[in-house]
Amino acid sequence: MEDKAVNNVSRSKEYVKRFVQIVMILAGITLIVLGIYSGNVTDIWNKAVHICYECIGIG
Amino acid sequence: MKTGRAKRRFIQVICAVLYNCNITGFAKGKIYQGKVKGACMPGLNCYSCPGAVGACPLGSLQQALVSSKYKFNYYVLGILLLFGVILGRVVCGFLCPFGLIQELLYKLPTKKIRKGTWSQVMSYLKYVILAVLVIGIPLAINVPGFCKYVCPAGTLEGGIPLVLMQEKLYELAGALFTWKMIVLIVILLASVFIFRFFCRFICPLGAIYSLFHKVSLCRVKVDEKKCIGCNICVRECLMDVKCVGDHECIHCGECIEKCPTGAINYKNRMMFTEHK
Repeated sequence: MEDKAVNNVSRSKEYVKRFVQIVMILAGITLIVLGIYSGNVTDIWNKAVHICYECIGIG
Repeated sequence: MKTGRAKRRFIQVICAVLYNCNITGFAKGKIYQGKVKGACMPGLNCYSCPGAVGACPLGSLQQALVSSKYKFNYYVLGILLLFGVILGRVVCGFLCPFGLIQELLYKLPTKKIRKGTWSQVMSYLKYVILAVLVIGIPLAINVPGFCKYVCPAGTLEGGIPLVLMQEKLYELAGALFTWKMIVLIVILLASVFIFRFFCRFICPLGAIYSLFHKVSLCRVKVDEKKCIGCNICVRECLMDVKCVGDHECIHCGECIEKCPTGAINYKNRMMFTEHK
């Protein structure tokens, strides 16, 4: 009886974890798509294709 | 037994090469400007490295925060969320070039400084660095704090090659460059004696990925039915883990080979090297 209760608790924890994983993946994909449409990738590209003087220690 | 370790090393080397495969950049002293450069790579790799073909997620995050007053960067947030939930700190163990550099330096035959209470306490420093240098300073004074004052990958992969290959930059190198060189040398020297010194105590990207340790899809996992509680996995681990798979675990899989009952394995085995 006790084993069954423990199994039920761990199963429900797994379900919660799975739910959180799915929500986070969907949120990540949504944000990426939103970012692409907002031009965020272009902003990053604009920064990445020019030498980052702060990064290389020039200032 | 060593097959898993060799395969992980192979993946690390391939990733380091793929992140920095713009060979002509090294030859000409110029950085890559192709369209792919807008895509963030999962590991720490400066986008001012002449060989870099992708963007650094940490650098992109700081730039996003610098310009957040004008425009919110959903893309960087989404990328970090996706890498975090799918890979977590597997990025650190398999996909980060700077992690590879530190592991290779640790192989040098010197006396090693083992982990202890001191290193467990120091491991929280990276969260402070994340909060202050990566998030706080860009928001407060519009400067990518970590990139500018600390990042050793920027100095090693971007600063040194570009300063050596471009006379104009060589003439501009001053106190900040000297400071960053000192930081780089300290980190590289420390990595010889202390396993993954930068990853454990400084790396804010590792700090970000560690936040996903409970939900990441790919990770090492202990089979509670087989585990006998001997704690060999924690004792033998070179990172500051309190248990396998916690926020300090980089999922390198070394504990898999140490476990006497075979209770440890990768959660999504198909995606990883086989450990027998």
